[in-house]
Amino acid sequence: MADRILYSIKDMTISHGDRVLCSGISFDIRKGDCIMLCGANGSGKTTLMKALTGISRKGNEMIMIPARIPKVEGFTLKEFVRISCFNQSDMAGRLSEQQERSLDSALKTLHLNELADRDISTLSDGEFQKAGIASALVRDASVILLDEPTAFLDAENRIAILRTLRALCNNGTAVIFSTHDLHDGYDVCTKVLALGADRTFRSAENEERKAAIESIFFRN
Amino acid sequence: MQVILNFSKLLFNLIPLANIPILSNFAAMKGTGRTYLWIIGLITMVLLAGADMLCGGQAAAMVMLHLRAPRVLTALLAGASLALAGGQMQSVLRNPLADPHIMGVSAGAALGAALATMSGFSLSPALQGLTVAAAAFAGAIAAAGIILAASRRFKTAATLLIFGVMLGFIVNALVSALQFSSDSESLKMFYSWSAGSFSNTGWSEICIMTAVLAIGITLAWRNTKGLDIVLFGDEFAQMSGAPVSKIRHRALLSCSLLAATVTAFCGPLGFVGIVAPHMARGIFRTSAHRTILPASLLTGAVTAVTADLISQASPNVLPVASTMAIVGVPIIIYILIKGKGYGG
Repeated sequence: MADRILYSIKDMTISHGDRVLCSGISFDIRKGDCIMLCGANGSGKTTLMKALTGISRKGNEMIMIPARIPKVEGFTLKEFVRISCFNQSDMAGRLSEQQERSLDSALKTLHLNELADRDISTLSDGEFQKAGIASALVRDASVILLDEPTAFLDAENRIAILRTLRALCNNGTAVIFSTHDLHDGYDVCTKVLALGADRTFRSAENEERKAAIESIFFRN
Repeated sequence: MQVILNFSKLLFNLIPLANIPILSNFAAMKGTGRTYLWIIGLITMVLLAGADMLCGGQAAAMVMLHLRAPRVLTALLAGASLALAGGQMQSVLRNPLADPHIMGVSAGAALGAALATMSGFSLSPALQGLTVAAAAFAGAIAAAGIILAASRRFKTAATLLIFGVMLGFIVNALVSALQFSSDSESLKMFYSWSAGSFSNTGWSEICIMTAVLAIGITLAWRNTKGLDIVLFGDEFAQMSGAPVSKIRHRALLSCSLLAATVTAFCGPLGFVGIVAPHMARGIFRTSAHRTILPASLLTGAVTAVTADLISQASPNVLPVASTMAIVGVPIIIYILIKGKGYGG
């Protein structure tokens, strides 16, 4: 049951214009997977995630949350989540009753319910990052792709976000996050995807994760 | 007269201060408070319009009907139109200082008007006003068309903004070149257009402006949630499934029509387009377009009618574009200091 495969990627190549960033990318995304995507700057982490959103299917939506969303003054957290549900809301930007309920439960899951009516410009980076995750949950994402969710956070918030991600996975959502915080990420992930500087790709699960990271980053 | 003037000055002084005490307390009570704000705003608008009507003392019904009422209505319509245009432009370009005036639309209109007045054709005086308006409209639409076409090419809002400002520079340079080689007669005619006025319109022009405003509102209203999401950046909007370029085009189309029409009839009027949306955001304490676009219509109308009131009430009637700047600049500076608006 836990092994239900949502997506199976086989021999994918990602490139930036004519420049091939990485080839031979093969891995499965299963329900409840917590996947850490690591690699040096420019190795193609963001490109890989964007490519994945391109094969997103209805019913098993993959939703990506970009690294930095501007905190625009003048919107409450709840309004922000409603706005992000662009294709789900009606012309006036309203959600259906059922979606409103799933919005409330998403905020509860992420411990954001007390901040629901706060202006997003007054939220901390960690809280706002969680608002982005909430919006993916309301949009019924089966796979949530997060581009460096911990990049702008202090140690405490970093761990809080990663624990939140792990909790989502335990509920059956698959999560792929890219990060440079290999230590913190290692503790929560079930699977590692590593993009090497020389366009090599490694994926590893469970005990082999450490070896995979080392083979990409600490070869000499 | 003096009483009316003092009263309207008092009201006007209240507008930029709406952030402080009483009004913001109303705004804090979401929902119910907004209704109060609407009522206060509408009463302010009606009082100012009334004061503007009475400016210049008692007059015969004919004067009221054929001179003053069209002038006041034109001011209200022009202010509302420019505010709606500016509000949409600020959002799609994610820049607190964007408005059709800065994006070269007014410059395009000025070039049209300059060509009409200085090209050397001698026109019968009856047709002159209409020709200038038509040429200005054509110029504004041409400039807006170039910007719309460019928006398909440019990926980011920032490059589009720079393009618009550069377009304005080039067109203004052409206008200056034309002015330099013109005789004093046509210069004066061009100048009277570019000084801006709400007095050159009759009921038929008002009908056109109302129709265009209705189209502009319709386009904007169908675009509110799109305008909301593009504030969070093109990347986020795309990832949320929003058709970013369609949203941008629809907003620019609405802006162009509104700005071109107003500029053709009333001359190049800046500031309302920039200031009114900021006033709306400040008073209603939100950036949600479903609230601030209608609110901008109100603040824009109030600002324009205030500017007209000041130009009419001053000892020598002042050009509206000047009073608009005198009214507008302090508000812009206040906004900048308070740090309200987008992009920090």
